[in-house]
Amino acid sequence: MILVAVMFGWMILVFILAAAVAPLDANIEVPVDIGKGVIVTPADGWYSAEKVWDVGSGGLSLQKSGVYVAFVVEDYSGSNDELLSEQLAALEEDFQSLRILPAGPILVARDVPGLVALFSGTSKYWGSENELVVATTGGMGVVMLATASKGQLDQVQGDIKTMLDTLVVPR
Amino acid sequence: MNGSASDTSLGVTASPRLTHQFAFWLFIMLLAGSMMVVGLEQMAYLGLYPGAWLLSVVLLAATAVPAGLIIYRFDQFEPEPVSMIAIALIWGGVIALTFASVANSAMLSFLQHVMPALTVDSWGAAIVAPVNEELYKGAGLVLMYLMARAEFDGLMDGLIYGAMIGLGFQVVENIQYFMLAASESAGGEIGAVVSMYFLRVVLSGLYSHVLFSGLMGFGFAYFVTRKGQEPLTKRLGVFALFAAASWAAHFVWNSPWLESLTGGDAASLTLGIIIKGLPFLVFLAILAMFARRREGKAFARLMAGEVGTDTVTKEEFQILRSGRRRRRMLRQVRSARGPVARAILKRLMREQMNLALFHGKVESADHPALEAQRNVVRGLRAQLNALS
Repeated sequence: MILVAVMFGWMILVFILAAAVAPLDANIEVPVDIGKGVIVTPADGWYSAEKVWDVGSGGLSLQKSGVYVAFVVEDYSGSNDELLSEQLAALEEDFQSLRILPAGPILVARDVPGLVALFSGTSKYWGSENELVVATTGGMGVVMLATASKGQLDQVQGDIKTMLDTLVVPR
Repeated sequence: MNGSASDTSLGVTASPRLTHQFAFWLFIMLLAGSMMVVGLEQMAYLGLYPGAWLLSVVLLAATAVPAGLIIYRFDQFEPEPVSMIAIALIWGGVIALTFASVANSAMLSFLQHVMPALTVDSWGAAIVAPVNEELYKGAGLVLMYLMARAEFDGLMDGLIYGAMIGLGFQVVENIQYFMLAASESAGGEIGAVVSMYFLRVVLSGLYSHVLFSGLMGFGFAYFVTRKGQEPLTKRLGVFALFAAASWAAHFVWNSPWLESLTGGDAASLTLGIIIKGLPFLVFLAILAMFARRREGKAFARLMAGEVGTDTVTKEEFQILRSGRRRRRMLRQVRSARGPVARAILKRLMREQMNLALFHGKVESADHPALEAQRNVVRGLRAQLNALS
C-alpha cells in the first residue's frame, strides 16, 4: 500500500506542482526588430534558433520543442501571389520531392492580407510538416517559414498565429 | 530455488507461490492499466509506420535477447527464476515506463513555467528523467521483493533484477525513439530507424537503463540482504548512495555536457559517449565482479562438506566453480558422447550446484531434504554412466 501511495502520490505531486505554477511565465518575451520597422514578439516559450537556423540580419529564427520558425523581411514591390511563387520556387531546390497544398488567405499583423501554404516532401533540410506565410505591404515583403516533424506543427499553431497577429508592420 | 525436483516437496524453503502474494496481484492490476497505454501506443506505431515498427522490434530483439541472457547468466550459482525475470522486464517496459512518462510530462510542464525555455530545452531531460524514471524502476524492485523475498538473498540478485528492469524499460523506450525518428524522416523511415539503432543501441546501449537500474538494484539488495548484519542507518546509507549513483549516472548521460564534443563527427561523438558513460559502467562492472566473487566464496563454503564425496568430486567442484569450465566440459561431452549425455550432464551440474543452496537453507548436513537432493545427483550420475 505504501508503494502504491508513493507511485501515485509522486505523480499527483508533480501534477499539483505543474498546475500551481501554470499561471507563471519564466520567459519574458522581448519584441525583436528584424529590420525595416518589422517587429516580431516571440510567443511564450520560444527562443532563438540562430545557431541552428541562420537567417541573416534581416530575419529572426525561433525554436520551441523541436519546431523552428523564421521571420524574414525584404524590399519587395510585387504581390502576395508573386512572393509566394518565388518562395516556393526557392524551396523546391531543397526538396527531392515537394508537395504543396493550395494557398489560402490569412491576415498578418491583424489587418495585412497575406497568403499561407502548407508544404511537405522529402528533404534533408526540412521537417515533415512545413508552413509558409507571405504578406506584402508598403514596398516590403514579410515571410514566415515554419518547419516541424510529423504532428508537431499542429501543436504550435496557436503560437504561430499569436506571433503573426502581434507582428508589427509599418504601414 | 532452481527447479530441483525435490526442493518444494521436501519442505526446504522455497518462494511461496507468486499468486499467493498480494504484491503479485498489485503487479497484475498495475500491468493491466499500464498495458492499455503502452499497447495502444504500440498499435498506433504499427498503424503509422508498420515497416519501421517491425524493423525496430527485430533489431531490438536481436540485441536485447543476448543482453538479457548475459545478465541472466551472470549469477552462475543461483540463476533467478524465469518468472521473476519476466516480471522485472515487464515492470520496466510497461509499468515503470508508463508511470514515468506521465510524471515526466507533468514535471517538464512545471519546469517550463519556472525556468527559461532555453534552459528547459537543454537541461529538462537531465532533470526530469532521472528523478521519475529511477523512482518508478526502483519501485519495481520493492514490489518484486514483496512478492518473493527469498529470491533476494545476495547482492547479485538485486543487480540482476535491477538490470532486467532497466533492460525492459530501455527496449520499449527505444521503440518510442525509433518511431520518433521515423516520424521525422520525411519518407526515409527505415534509414532513420537504423541510424537511431546505431546511436542508441550500438554506441550507447551499455550506458543506458541497464546500468542505472543495475546500480539501484545493487543498493537495494544491500539494504534487504544485510538485515540483521548491519545497522539500519548503514543499510539505508548504502542504499541512498547507490540510488544517488543511479540518478547521477542518468543525469550525466542526459545532460548537455560535452554537447559541443558530441555534436561533431562520429569520432568525437563516440568520445563524448565514452566520457559520459564509461566511468559509471566501470563502477557497475567492479560491483558485479565483487558480487560474483562473493557468490563464488559462498558457494565454496557451502559445498565444502560435499566436495570429495560421491556427489561432487574435487575435479567436478573445480569445473562447477567456473562458467567457462562448465561450458567447455559440456562441449567436450557433446562431441564425445552426444547431445543426450550433454543434457544429462548439464542437469547433473545444476543439481550439484543446488546442493549449495540446500546447505544454505537447512540446519544440519543430514537433513532429509539435503539427502534427497544428493540422491537426485546420484541418480543423474548413474544415468550418465549408463550412457557410456
